[in-house]
Formats: sequence, C-alpha cells, structure tokens
Amino acid sequence: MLNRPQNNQNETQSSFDACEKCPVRSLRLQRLGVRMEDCDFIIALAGNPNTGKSTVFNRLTGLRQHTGNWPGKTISRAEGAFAYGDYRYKIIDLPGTYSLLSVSPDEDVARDFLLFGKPDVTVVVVDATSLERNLNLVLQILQITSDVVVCLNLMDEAEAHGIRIDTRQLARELGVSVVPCVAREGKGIPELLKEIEFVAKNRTKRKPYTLKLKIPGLNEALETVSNELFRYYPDLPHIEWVALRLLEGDRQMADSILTGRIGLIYDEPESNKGDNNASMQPAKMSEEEVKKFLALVESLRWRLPYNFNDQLTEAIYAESERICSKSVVREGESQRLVWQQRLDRLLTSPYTAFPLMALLFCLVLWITIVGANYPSELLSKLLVDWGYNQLRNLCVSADLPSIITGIFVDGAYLATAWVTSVMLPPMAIFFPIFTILEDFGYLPRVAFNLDKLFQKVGSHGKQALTMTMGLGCNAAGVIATRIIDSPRERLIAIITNNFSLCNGRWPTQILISTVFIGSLFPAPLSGLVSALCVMCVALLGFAFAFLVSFALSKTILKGEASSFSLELPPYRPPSILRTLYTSLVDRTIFVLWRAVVFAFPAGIFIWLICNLSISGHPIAFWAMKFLDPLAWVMGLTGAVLLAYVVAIPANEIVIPATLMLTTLIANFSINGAQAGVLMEANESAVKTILIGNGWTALTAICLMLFSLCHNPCSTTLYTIYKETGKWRWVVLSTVIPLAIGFVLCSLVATIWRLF
Amino acid sequence: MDEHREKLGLTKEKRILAEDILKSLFQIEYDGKTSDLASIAGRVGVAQNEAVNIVSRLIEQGYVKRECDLYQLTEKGRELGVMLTRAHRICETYLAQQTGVSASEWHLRAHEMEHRLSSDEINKLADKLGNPRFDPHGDPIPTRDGKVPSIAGVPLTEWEKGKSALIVHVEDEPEVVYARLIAAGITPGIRIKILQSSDLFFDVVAEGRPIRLGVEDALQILVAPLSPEMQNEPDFKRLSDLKQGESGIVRGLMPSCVGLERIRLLDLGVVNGSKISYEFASPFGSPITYKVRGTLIALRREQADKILIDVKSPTK
Repeated sequence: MLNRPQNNQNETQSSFDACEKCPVRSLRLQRLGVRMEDCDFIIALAGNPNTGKSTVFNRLTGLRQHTGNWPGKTISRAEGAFAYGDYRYKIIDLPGTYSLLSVSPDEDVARDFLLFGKPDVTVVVVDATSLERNLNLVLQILQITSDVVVCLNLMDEAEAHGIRIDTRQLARELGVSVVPCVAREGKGIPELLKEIEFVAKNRTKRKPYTLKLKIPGLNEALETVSNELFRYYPDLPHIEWVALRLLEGDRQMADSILTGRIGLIYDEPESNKGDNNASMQPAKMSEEEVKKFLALVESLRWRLPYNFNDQLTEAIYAESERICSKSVVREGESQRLVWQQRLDRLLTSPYTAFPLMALLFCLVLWITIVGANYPSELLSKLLVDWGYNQLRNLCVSADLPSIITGIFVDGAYLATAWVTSVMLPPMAIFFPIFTILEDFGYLPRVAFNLDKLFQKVGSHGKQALTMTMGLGCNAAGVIATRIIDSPRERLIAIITNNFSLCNGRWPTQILISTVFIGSLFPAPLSGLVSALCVMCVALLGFAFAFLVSFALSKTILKGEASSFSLELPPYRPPSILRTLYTSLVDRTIFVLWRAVVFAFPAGIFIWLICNLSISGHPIAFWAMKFLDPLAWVMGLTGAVLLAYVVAIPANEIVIPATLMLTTLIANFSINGAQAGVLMEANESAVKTILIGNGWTALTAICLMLFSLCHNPCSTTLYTIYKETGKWRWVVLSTVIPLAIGFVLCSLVATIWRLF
Repeated sequence: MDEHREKLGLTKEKRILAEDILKSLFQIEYDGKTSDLASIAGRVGVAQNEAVNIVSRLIEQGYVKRECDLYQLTEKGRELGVMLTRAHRICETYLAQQTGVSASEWHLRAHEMEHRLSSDEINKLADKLGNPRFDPHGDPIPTRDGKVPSIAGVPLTEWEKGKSALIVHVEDEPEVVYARLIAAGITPGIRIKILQSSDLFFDVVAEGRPIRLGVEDALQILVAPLSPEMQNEPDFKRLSDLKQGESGIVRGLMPSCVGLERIRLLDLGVVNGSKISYEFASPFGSPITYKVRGTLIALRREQADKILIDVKSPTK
C-alpha cells in the first residue's frame, strides 16, 4: 500500500525530498494535529516562557495564524504559515518550557513533537539576558535534533544590561547557527529566515550534540543501555537520548521498543497496523530479547542514585555555565540593573508598596471610567439611536409582521447593540492598560506584595492578578487563573472571581450612585462621592473574595497551601502601540462574540416576556408580581429581580431592563418607549422614573450590593465550565454569590427599616 | 490484578480487607518479620476473628498457606500482593507529588484510591508521574512486572552515635508518630547523625537541623550507610537561613521537595553549584526574592527551608 522510502540507508545524502513527500509522515503529523498538504517544511518553535517567542511567531506569520489545542490536551497551541524563497513553511508554536526532562503536560507535548513529529527545523528562541538558563533547554533539544537554529532574542535588553555575547563563539560551541534578533523591532528576522531555509534544505544526519555527563552510576548505565540498543538499531540517531529516557522510566519509549516501532523512528498511525505489514519495518528484536533488554534497563534503574534526575539537571547547567563563560561578557554593573533594583526596592518596601499600589489602582479605574464615557455615548448614538431607528424603518417599509420586527429588532438587535456600546469602550481601555502593566513586569510584584494575605486565606499571591483581571471581565479573570499551578488554589480563584466588579457592572454602579447618593451632596462633591461609593463597592468585593477563599479552603477545598514560587521578570519597556493594537483587536472580537452569542437571545427573551400576554397582562407582569415579596425582603423591587434574571447573559442589560420593566408595570411611557424595548435615558429621566416608582436610597444601596453579589454572567459560567470541566464548580460559583447577595441585601434592608 | 479481584468474588468491604491482608503479608515477608494472626490483624487494624475469616477464604482460593501458626503467601498470593503494594505506593506518590494533600493524610487517601483503581489506571497514573522508583516514604515501588528490590536499612536506634547515615525509610505506622516525624522534616533521602542518646531521647542533627526524637520516633526511622561521595560533605544550611545581603551556593533540594515545586526550582537553575543571593523581602516579610542564575525568584519560607546551601561570607 505505502511505498516507504528506505531513507535510513543513505545517511549523508540530503534526504529531505523523500521524507517530505512520504505519506507516512503526513499521517503521523496528522495525528499530532498538523496538516501537511499545503506546505513544504515544518518548523517547530520552542523556547522558555517570556522570551518573546510569540513576537517571533507573529513576525514570521503575520496574521496567518490560528490557535487551537493540542490533540487530546487542554494546552493551547498556535499554528501559522508563511512563504519564503521558493518554499512554503508551516510553523508550530510549542508550549514554552524550561526543559524537556520532567513530567509535565507542556513538556510532554514539546518533547513528543520534537521526537515523533520530526520537524524539519527547530527554532529555539533564547533570551539573551538570561542565556545560562535558556541554554538548559537548547542543550536538551540538541540531544534530540541537530536541525536547529537558535534565535538569540532581546538583544536590545541585553545591551541595556551591559551584556555582550560573542554569537560566533556560541555558535561554535553549540554546533548550530545563532541569529541575534530584536524580534520586537523586526531586527534579525531576515537573517533568521535565511538560516531556516538553509537548515531545511540541507538536512544532514549530523551527529547530534552529546552532553558530557559525569554522573556516577548514570554513565555506566547509559553506556550499557546504549550499547545494547546499538546492537539492534545501529541507525537510531538519538541512541543516548533514548537510553536516558528509558532509564528515566519513560513508558512510551519502552513501548516503542516492545512493538519494534523504535526502529521506525516514526509512529505508525493506528489505521495501518492491521493491514499491510509491508509498510512496517520488521522488529529487529525478538520478543525474548526485548524482554531481556527491558529487564536489564529496569535492574539498572534501581541502582541509579536516589536523585539522579537532579544530577542530570545539574550537569546540563554546568555545561551551560561553561559555554556562557566563553561567550558572554558582562560589562560591569550596568545602569539598567541599578535602576531595576531601585525600582524593586521602591515597589516592595513596606512604606511605599501599598500606597503606590492603591494609587495605581485608583488611576486605572479613573482612566477607564472617564475614558470610556465618550466612546460609549458615541457607540450608543450610532448603534442604538441611529441604527435601531434605521432598522425599524426598514422593517416597517418591508411590511414585515410586527412580531418579527419586535423579536429581532426591538429585542435581539437592541440588546446586542446595548451590550456592545456599554461593554466595548471600558474593556478596550482597561485591558490594554492591564497588558502594559503586565509586559512592564509590575504585576508579579503585586502578587509578591500581597502573597502573605492570600496565604492566610489559603490561597496564592497570583490570585491578586486574576482578581484584578476580573475587574475588566470576569470571564477573562477565570481564564487568567491558568497562571496558578495548584488545582485547588486555581479553583478558589475561579469561584471567587465573581466578586471582582467587572466592567459590565460599572455603569450600573456609577449611574445608581450618581443618581441616588451623589445627588445628596452639593455639586462639586457629588462626582467625587459617587466615585468613592463605587470604589467602596469594589473593595467590598475584594473583601468578600478573601472571606469566601478562606471559607472554601477550610471546607470544600481543603488542603495544604501548595508550593508558591513566582518569577519576577526584569522590567521591560512595553511596546505600547503594539499592545494597544493587539489588545484592541482581541477585545473587540471577544465583546462582539459575546454580544452575539449571549445578548442576542437575551434580547429576544426580554421582548417576548414583555409582549406575550396571559390573562390580559404580559408574562413579565406576572413574573414581577411573583418576585415582589422576595424583592421587598431584599430591599429591592420585583422589576429589579426580574431584570437580573433577564440579565444573566450579560450584566450590562440590568439598568435598561430595570427601567423598561419598571415603566411597564407603571404603564408609564417616556420618550415614546414601547413595551419590551430596552431604553437608555439620561440621569434625570432615570431619576424621575425610578423615584416615581417608589425607589429610595435603600433600593439604590441594595441594588449596588446585589450587583456586586449575584450569580456570574453566562459567559463567565460557560468559561468556568470550559476551564474546570465539572458542573459542580459552575453550580458553586453561582450559588455562593447569590446566597451572599441575598443575605447581605436582606440584612441591610432589615437594619435600615429599623431606623 | 483485576482478574484476581473478580476471582475472589467477595463483597466490596471484604475484598478491601482481603487486599489489605495480602499487602500486609507481602510487607511482613519483605521485612522478614513474623506473620502470625495477631500481627496480621494488628497491621490491618481489625479484630482477629474478622481477619481469620478472610484469611481462611484466601487459603481456600490458594493465595495464602498456613504453616503451624504462621501464614505465608503462595506464589499466586505473592503476585497479587506485589501488585497491590504497587497500587498503594503509586497512589501515595500521586498524592504527595500532584495534590496539596498533607503527608499525614496520604496513607488514608491512598487507601481509598488503591482499592478502586484497576491495573490499567494504576499504570496510567504511574506514567503520569514518570514511573517513580520510590514512594514518598522511601519504599521502592514494584514495577508493573512485579519486580521490587530489597532496601537494606536498620532502625536508627541500632546506629552508631556520631556517624552520619542516610535515611532510607520512614515507617508510616503508627500514624501519629509518622505525622510528627514528617512535621519535623524527617524524610527518606536526607542525612542524619546522632549527637546524644539516652533511654528516652535521641538528639540528632537531620540535614543541618537539630531535633530531639523520642525512642518510638527513632524506631520508625531506618537508615543505611552514606554513599562515598556523600560522606565527605559537610552539614548544609538552608536557604531560609540566608539574611539580607548574603549569598550562598546551592547544594541541593531536600527530598521532601517534590512534584511541581521541585520541577520549577530545577528549571530555574536551583541546582548544585548555582550561586544564590538574598535580594529583597515583601512588605509583610514573606515571600522573599532571591537571585539565582540571573533570575529573580520569590519563595515563601517553607520553600526556602527545602533548599540546601553553603553560606558564603556577606558580600557587602
């Protein structure tokens, strides 16, 4: 069936032709999730986290990329393509890893792809400012393949730190090309492409770099195993690496030997196994021999020192150090380093750390609120005022039945337009700021400062970051919890994320506090007072997050505080424009998706319950009546509760829904609003409507509190399910805030009424 | 293992008891101790009459044989016993390395897991852990073919005073003593030396830290001679002993540093020979940022405790 080329024979001949066209390879790559039809060469992109790998990736692929997941895993991966010279390249972004030696899903994925995917070229992105640590991975990769190009990135940072690297010497030591780059500015990319092309076209079966290990006990064992392997598979190019993996207990390797597949180097797709054995090379070891071999490996394993894994890492680092000492020169203590240290002292000293953090926090909030105002208004004018009317007229002139117009224009379109105009501007401002702070390197310092607090409640300092992210959008905050390693602490962060007051709730808070509380104060103070109110609510949210974290870690999510370790990257000047651009694009797409998927049906639902009548009154009317008693206990109105039910998809809809439902029940028409049509109104109009319906300061306060403590929006719930995979966490995330909201509001209402 | 479970044909509760008995017999055999009914029942924690019923059943089915008052495993029984022991140790290793469960709970939680999982699931778990050779107590984990080497060790009470030894095993029963030992940082893989001993106490130094142990504590610790390389090493300090402005050379990680924590530290270069220095502390005093191999890394005190170092004289 498949005519396998005998590419194991002619070793020095450039064999890429045969390899590339081989259908076995494409099937194998397909199993790893890569389709080969539309390209000539496959490039694997590897490197430590935080080395600018994604920048290199973006530089090479432009926008021709897409993200997905590795087959069978929840690790995301990006894949892109580009053309250079006469060839087309496909580039796979491997997960950022520090090494390939241990057992973690990221490393498994990277190692498997390099070993079994056999990319044509492996580009390793290396941070020039911490070469020693980065070489750890490079040396390990060189054990697997010599078709490597080292991209020495962040050269500008290195220079600023006073680090000079002799790239020629480095290349000589490693035996592969080293290309200095500043990927952010595009420097070095043309040279990189040239090297990639060269390696891709001239894949010689060079002897891979071998680490000289001097580990007592391990060397002898390695030699024994390698020799045995060599007897049966002399063509196996990475014999010592395979021997090492076997001694480390790598089951996949052992299985490959058991089934004889190791001789193929490739991994045969399942479909071919039963069919025609002409496609498989005969196993070179008989069953008896295999058993003996694996038993030998096993017995050698037991005799290895207790911590030989450590010693292995140590040996690699020692080698890395040696290479660096020959190729890297540090020119004294650079100015940059001094500034970094000063800044660190400033941001973490007992007296200045917290005031600065608080100041920054307020600043970010203020910029977001003020900055979002104008664009929100504009969008609202465009989409809601103009767009809505246009659509309506279109439908009327097309003579569509009013129910269709109602459902799709009054209901769905309006809701979607609302969510977009309210949601988009704040997010478009908040997230870039957040990303800039992150790129700069400030956020890990925040986690560092606050960790003690989180430890006290049984959680992790990084939760500070996810909570802050949650201020932008709870769903984003939940995704951000991926940075927390321990599953238990991650769950705590996920469940309590809802207490971060997300952007979608800010308008509610701001409006209500301005109308009901700020107005109690004279004009110059009222703005300040309402801002303070909102800040208080946000801080209250954080307090609840701590409380609930504590409760969870004592009950359902009990366990030891897990290992905490946090890397504090050096401060780097963020590329502001680039961040703004990518953030804007990412955020816009996310908001639009959310608006369509969640707000659209919500709009339809609202319209329906307001216009479908039972016994002479709309469904909404009955629902509100039903909810009134409960609402009274909580200091709210039935309209509010129903609005919250309706606003489960998106918190932004709460105010307009409340207004609309309130007027519905009062048969109060304003601005010619029709039933079931979400309305926007200015402050004074809002005040008139609400006060006219019996709202007091109590109602306002309870509304603000309930806005803080209620179930997460449907996007967040959906995200929680995707991230945790279990419904029980979704349920818990819903029930806990709801319960707290109910108790809190009822308590406040009761106490208020006593006076 | 699964076929045996079916053949036993017992109710779930009885099956669990039978498996525990087989495991105990295997351990008794391994340790070279006596296997009369009282000791078996004691190890498993049930009354003798309960145990005797299950044991009779096991004899019937050919897993156990009886000689006078002592019970022994048959070939078949040994096979099953080894696999059950493997299941138990893999589960404990999983709990120790990949969950946040505290050491005192490993035994109990493993007990819940090991009787539930099939051979395949155990093997998958082992793969996920990288097929470890030893469990968190220092006991060797039988391979999937049922092989397990013997580990030689004597109780600390029989060791020479003043001579350093390597801890190779810490007995996990009685549980309360085990919890105490773990809390004091006594784990397999570290060095220990007796400074003074009396009828009631043992004053020891365990990897640089002085501890006072009771006799029943010392009995649970099995030690063996140090390898030649380790013998010449001086006592190390811990990273948490480092003060502001000081630096040192990393000598290694404590064996109690496992799982993700260990991987992370190794990745960042906290290995023998790396220079490490104290940079600054957080406003609350913990965590503390250290610099190693050009990287700034923040660690809580509990993590810094697990890193062994040689202290250099202050740099400023």
